[in-house]
Amino acid sequence: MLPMLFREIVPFVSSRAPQLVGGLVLCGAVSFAVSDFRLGAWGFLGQRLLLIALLWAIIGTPLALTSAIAAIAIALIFSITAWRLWYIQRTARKAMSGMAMSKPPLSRFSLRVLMAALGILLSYGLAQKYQVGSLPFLTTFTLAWLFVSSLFSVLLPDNALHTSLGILNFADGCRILYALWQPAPLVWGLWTACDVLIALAASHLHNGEVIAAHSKLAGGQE
Amino acid sequence: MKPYWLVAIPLLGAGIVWMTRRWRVLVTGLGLASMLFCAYLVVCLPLGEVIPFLGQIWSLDRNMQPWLLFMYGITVVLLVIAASTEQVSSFSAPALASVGLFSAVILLRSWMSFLLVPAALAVLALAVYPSVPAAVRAASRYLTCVSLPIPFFLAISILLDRFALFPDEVSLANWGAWLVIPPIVLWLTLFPIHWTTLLWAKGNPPLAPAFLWTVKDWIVIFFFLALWQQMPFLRTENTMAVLGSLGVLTVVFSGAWAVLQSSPSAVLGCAAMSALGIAVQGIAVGSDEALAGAISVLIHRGIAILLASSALAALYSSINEECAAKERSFSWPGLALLLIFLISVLALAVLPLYSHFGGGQHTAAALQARESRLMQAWWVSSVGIVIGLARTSWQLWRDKVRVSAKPISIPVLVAICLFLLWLWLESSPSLIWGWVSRVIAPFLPL
Repeated sequence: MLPMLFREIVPFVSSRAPQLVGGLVLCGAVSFAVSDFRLGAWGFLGQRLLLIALLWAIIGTPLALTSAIAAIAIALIFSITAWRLWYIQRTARKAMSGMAMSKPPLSRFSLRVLMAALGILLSYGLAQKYQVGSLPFLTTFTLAWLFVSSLFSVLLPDNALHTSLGILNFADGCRILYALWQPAPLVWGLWTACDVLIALAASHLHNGEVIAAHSKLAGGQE
Repeated sequence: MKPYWLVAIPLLGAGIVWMTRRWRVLVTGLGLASMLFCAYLVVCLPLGEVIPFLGQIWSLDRNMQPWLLFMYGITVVLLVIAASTEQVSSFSAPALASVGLFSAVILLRSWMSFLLVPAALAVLALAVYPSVPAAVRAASRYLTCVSLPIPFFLAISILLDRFALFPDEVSLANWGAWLVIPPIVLWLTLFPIHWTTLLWAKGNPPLAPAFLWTVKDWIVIFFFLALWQQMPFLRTENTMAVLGSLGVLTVVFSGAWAVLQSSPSAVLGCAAMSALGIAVQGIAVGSDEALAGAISVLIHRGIAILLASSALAALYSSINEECAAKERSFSWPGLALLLIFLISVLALAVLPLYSHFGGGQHTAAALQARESRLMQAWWVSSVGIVIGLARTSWQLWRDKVRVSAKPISIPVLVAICLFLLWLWLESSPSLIWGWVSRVIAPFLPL
């Protein structure tokens, strides 16, 4: 069943490449724009899986599967962290009888949406203006989007998870270039393991951020 | 036993320590046991034996022993210091995991290490103790810095593949040499990102930052020395001049920044980064004497950082317990700890080049032979560190020592024992220089 499905992926991707790239950029924009990683983790997972599907024909099934498993692991780490912290925040909010607790203001969300839109526009412009070697437009656009969004995520981080999103997007951009060369399975596997470690470390840092903020707030209230 | 156990044991130890992190005694005991067992293995394993495992060649030779033993020794001391602080549960497991991965970097000495180093560095972000928001912020930046070099190495390997096909195209090798510089800057957190580990150190006894300044820098320098030895064309005169300048800038800006610091840990960080800048300058010069001088600075720096960290950890732990006891009066152990801290930071700022201890004059001569700006930079840095130290030590005296009523305890004893050990090491220059010559032996001529 699964081998048949894998065989179908390559022709499907080649016939629907523009739609898949559009989906990839949309998922990336969602994960960049929302501060809440209960949704952002799914955006990240969507972006990664679409990227793996697009690279499937080049890297082959084993490497694609490795990357997909790592992407699911990273999304799970982000999701579990986000849900756990949401639960902690909700409990704390109840305990502090409705006191406002680090809820991101709407203006910040609007700013991030605007930045995501600007990122898409910038990537499109860059891909139109500069062609990287003999790469097709869609590949250049995807690369430009991944690099621009990673830059924005690192420069405008809401929290450690957003910083890690920037790091992982940058790695994805470089991974496309590496896939077009001659990807060695060992390098590919270790690199994806590094991604999982980065996600774990970011999750720990975000935990630390939220717990430190809560302790400060609780101390202030006492 | 085979060499790959030096990787497996710390990683296994890290896993168990992480799961049992609520039991302080177990965490400390397991951490120390795994490090000491690894040190025992390094001494007892047959040298020069080549073992294929997981598609890689694992071997331990005589020249790797001092690199591994220094790493284990530093980690053991840091674990002992951590035992007296609240950070023991967050620090031990990441440190052990990182040591395991660093051991793989040394044992394999392969091109693949460019992925093992960032993995080992990313793990260390788990050691952040989030009581100070600045530490978490700094660790986020650090995480970004350590993961960025991977694409640079992939680009270098692509360039080198082409260079192997077209040996006449020297520009390919030149580009490769330039691409080595950003990873050095990012992994050693040299200027302009020298502030990350200082920010991380703020407000707490700096255990994870001390690990970064000692073990991490030690292994990163090993990695690049091994890389340059295997591919000498990646070390060109221009790139080394740039690296040397970055080292000098790190010295100046770390010292200047020390003036602005309000935390003794951050001043310690400034002193540590300044000494690292001097060592980087020595590595960039590349002669045998300069390399020996650089490694000597790194060894002295590592020991001084441990000493200062132990004194700070003892001071901070005494004040925490004492606050609970609600009894406040002056005590001699507090003053002794403050003096130990002052001496160790001054040693970092002043001693590396001019000291009669530890062959400091040889180091100065070797480094000055090629770089006269270094002395001026080092003077600026030393003045900044001394001013920063005066400001923060007064604060430390007022807030911690003068109100400390703690009698002599285990952390104080650890700090005093380390101080005596430091005095003995500094007064035995032949011992340190014997060690240095063994450490640099595999990389000569660079």
